[in-house]
Amino acid sequence: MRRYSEAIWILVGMFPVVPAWAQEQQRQPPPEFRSGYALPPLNAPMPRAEVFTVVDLLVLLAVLSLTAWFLLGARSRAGVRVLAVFSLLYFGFYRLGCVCSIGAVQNVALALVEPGYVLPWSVGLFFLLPLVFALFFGRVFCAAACPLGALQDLVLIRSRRLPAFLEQGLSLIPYLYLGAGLLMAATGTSFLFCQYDPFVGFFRFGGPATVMAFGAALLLLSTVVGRPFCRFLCPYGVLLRACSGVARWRVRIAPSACVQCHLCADACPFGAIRPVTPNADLEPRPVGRRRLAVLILLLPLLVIGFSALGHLASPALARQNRVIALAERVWLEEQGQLWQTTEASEGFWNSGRPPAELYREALAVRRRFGIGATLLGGWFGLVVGGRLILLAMRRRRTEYEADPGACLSCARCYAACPVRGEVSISLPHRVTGETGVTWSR
Amino acid sequence: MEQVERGPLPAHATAEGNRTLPEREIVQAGYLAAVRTAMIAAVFCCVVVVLMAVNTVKSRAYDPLNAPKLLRRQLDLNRDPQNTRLRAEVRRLDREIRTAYFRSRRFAVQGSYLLLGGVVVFLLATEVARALRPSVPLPLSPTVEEVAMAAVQGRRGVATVGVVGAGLLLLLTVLSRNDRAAEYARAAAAGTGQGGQPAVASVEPGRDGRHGNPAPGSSSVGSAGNAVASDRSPAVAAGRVSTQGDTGTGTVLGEPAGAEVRTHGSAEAPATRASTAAGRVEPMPAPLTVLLPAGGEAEWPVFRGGAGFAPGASAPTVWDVKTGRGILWRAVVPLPGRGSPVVWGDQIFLTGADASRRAVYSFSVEKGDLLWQTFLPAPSTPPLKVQAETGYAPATPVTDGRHVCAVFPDGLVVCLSASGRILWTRDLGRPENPFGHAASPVIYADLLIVPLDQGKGEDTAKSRLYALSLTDGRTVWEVARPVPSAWATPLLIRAGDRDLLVLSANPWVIAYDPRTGREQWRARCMAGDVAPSPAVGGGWVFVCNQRAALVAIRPDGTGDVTQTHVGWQFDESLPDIASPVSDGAFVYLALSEGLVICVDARTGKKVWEYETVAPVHASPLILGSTLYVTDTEGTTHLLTTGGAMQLIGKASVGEEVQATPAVARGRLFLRGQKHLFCIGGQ
Repeated sequence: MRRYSEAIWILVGMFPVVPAWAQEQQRQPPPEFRSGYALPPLNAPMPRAEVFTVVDLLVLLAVLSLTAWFLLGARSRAGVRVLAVFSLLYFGFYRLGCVCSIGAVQNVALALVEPGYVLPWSVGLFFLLPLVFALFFGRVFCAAACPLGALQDLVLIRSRRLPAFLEQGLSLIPYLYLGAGLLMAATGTSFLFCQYDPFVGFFRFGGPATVMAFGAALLLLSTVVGRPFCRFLCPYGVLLRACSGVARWRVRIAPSACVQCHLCADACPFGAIRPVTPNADLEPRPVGRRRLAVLILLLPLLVIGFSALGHLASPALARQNRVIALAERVWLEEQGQLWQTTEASEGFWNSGRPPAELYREALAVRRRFGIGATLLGGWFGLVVGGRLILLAMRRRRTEYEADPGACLSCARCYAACPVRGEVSISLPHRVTGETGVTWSR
Repeated sequence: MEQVERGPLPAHATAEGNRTLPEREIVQAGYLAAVRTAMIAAVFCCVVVVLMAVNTVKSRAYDPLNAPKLLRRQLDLNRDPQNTRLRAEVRRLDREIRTAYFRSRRFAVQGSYLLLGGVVVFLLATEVARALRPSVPLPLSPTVEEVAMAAVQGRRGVATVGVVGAGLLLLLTVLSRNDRAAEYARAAAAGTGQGGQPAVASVEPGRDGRHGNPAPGSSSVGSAGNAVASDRSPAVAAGRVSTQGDTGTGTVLGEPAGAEVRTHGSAEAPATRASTAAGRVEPMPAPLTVLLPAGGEAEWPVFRGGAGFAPGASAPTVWDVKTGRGILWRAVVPLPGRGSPVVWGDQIFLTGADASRRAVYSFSVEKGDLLWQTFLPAPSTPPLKVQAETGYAPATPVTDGRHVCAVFPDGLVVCLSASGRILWTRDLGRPENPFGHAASPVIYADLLIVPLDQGKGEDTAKSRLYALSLTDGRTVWEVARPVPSAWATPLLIRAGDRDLLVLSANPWVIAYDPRTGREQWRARCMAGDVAPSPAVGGGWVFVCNQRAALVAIRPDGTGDVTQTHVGWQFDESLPDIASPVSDGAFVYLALSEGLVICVDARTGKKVWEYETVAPVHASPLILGSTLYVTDTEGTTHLLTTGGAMQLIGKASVGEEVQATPAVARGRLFLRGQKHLFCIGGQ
């Protein structure tokens, strides 16, 4: 219990002690009724003060720092878990899942292509901080700062390994989801990641029925499959994976200390620990080389083919954009093919804006979609082709390795490692390693 | 090779072996307690989930906006709005459903908290159970075969996702077939530079193809070479003007065949001398154009369809309500009203009201179904007193296809969407009007123009003319009018390069610039309670009233034009309610005394008269070359236009008619006392 109490005391100090006084204000001046009807007191709370944005950022910074310290210094799985619970309560249930680093990707994308959109500095920092930490310490954000990951981690009862077919196939989806989300955000169409966030409905005690059902299914799956959302859907995870690949301090298995007992690989619910490869060849070398050559040659074709498909599919994708949808509706109404207006078209007609102006705007959006969808298609091809090439490459491992991209820094492997005591190491810096799995450089 | 020091075995490997017997029993008891707690928590969670699911399913029936039972009752009430028992039931149901809805919402939130608590207990219990009896790991390194198989499976998995992705993109490609980018580009190019033009289309009285449903997006060219607006787009329609009158071509747009006016309807400047002597041949003034909302050329968007003159229209000439011949459908109008129907697209709009309720209705042109009805804010208190002849819904609504606007006798102005949603309302104040305010509004560009003449005799202080923004109802301009109560509807015309709004009252007929409300000219020529609206034809504006005269005014003047632009006056028999109509050569008057009188538009001399016997309150219309005069008994008299009148026939709808008919799509829409009739397809 001591290991828990230490972490809990640290967190108590972290809770913002700003009193949540209940100020209220009228949102609009109330109408006057001739009949003497008395308007019930419909008040809206004061908007959230700017200071809370700073508090949110400070909390995120503190959680990331503490997570790194729990992993690097205290080597405490318990500390990480307590932090995860805290993040779930604060960023999830208290802050209702917003602002979050996953959604911030879209704001950044929109700000990059739309000069008129000003990226809030707090959103920018929410996007950057976890990536900066990943560059140095690996995916500490996933370990304890992300409420979505924390929720899944807490409900994991007994992890089951997925077949390689599913593991590899599904692991491509975050790349594709990231591409689609960026396209929709950059064209000002929608924030896909926020719209289909499967867990935000739980934090808010309500949401669209389909999204809630999807979230519930994911949560059920999380009891037997380690963090399915983080591994097979999370678009931000793609960026974190890339950054943590070059992390200076992260979970490594010290070759000198490892006894190759396989316990850490067995304990990792995310399949992030790569075991030693068998000595025997899996297949004749010429076959492997030929396959690799074919796949390398195939890669440009895949990219070009998918790009073409993406370009051809752009009109259908563009219809998700409200400007295009409105232009289409107005066009049909103008042509007399539809005589009833929708709220959107009615608003347009009421605005007195000439339809030609709307069509010009729609054309500009269409052009943007044409380019974006082509790039998205190319990205599809690159991801699929690239992964096939990676799978075709033969890499021999003589030691157990923690995959820096796949490791979510949950610290389960610490508890599983049977190696104790001072470890004799050949690395230039001291490693306070009690176990074979350690943070090292 | 470096030596590795082995530490003690992990806790789960050693703890069990070091425990004493009592400790083991305690641990065993704790483990069992944790497992049972977890099981109870799991069952509890399942029960809560089931209850929440049932609540979710049940709550669908309590959706306050879409509860089927309530919708059914509301529909019943729409059909039978007088049924007070049904009304009370709707209110009771509405209250019950709302109460149930909020109860289910509370249940859902409370259930969420219970579920959350249950899950937390379950997770804690499983954690404790795991800690008390850890499972012994059985690590097994993968064999060569397993690794080989995993590699193959991995490649297959990636390839499958690739194929699925390609299939998805192919599907989207198929769905992209109807790409309208090219059309947008064309439309955007066509609309370049036209943004911000007033959304006004021009309609020539009697121009070709008025009711001909031109092809979308196209413009037709009239026989005199004038472009005829035919596009719904305000941007496209704006600026296309067809003008009446030409010089000696014999193919003047809209002029009835053989009308003499064509030879006199010159664009040359007319004589500036005024004449008040009836019988004098006057030079025909410059051509005029009646202005309608953009895209309204093929519609009937306003009272009398603009000026009551539609020579291009094809309208039925034979019908009989007893045999059903020519009657395409008949629909009950729930609330009474004397306002006329207006038509746009597939919808007919009209108003109805009694002392306590008022509504705007939309009927289907095709089948007469009541598409929607929107009840408006209840009349203000104390109850409004109006003459029985006026009623509570005497004014005709006006539409531009997107807005439907109506004015009621207590000064309420309402603007609805074409789907019946109230966009805005304005209370202009209760007019002091002895009979009840009845003038209909008109639409000019994005302005709703509402006359509100009030007061008696010399008391003219409160009379106003308002221009309200169609978008939000705010006042764009407002002018005081030096006239007492009047009931005439404004006439919107284009005279030369000027757009004019002509409004007749006692004693002044005044023309305003509809954009700004600035007065352009005025003529002192009316008297009494002025109800007939102005008409236009042959370059003249015609105004009349029973205690005054039928007066022809040239609309190209400025200032007081009484002495300079009044062409002739006819003061024998005059209408007090129905508005005159002109085909350019003649002016036709329908009197409450049951007389139809034809006056020569050049000389102001009576040409012929016809007796309907029954009084006429509905304004006469010229459709094609036929004059339609509907008397109060519901009989429509069909007369040939021109100097030699012939009775084509009579047809009746069998009930009292006060409203002016509307014409669109080759159909005549006639509002009787209780029914709306659709006549056509003979």
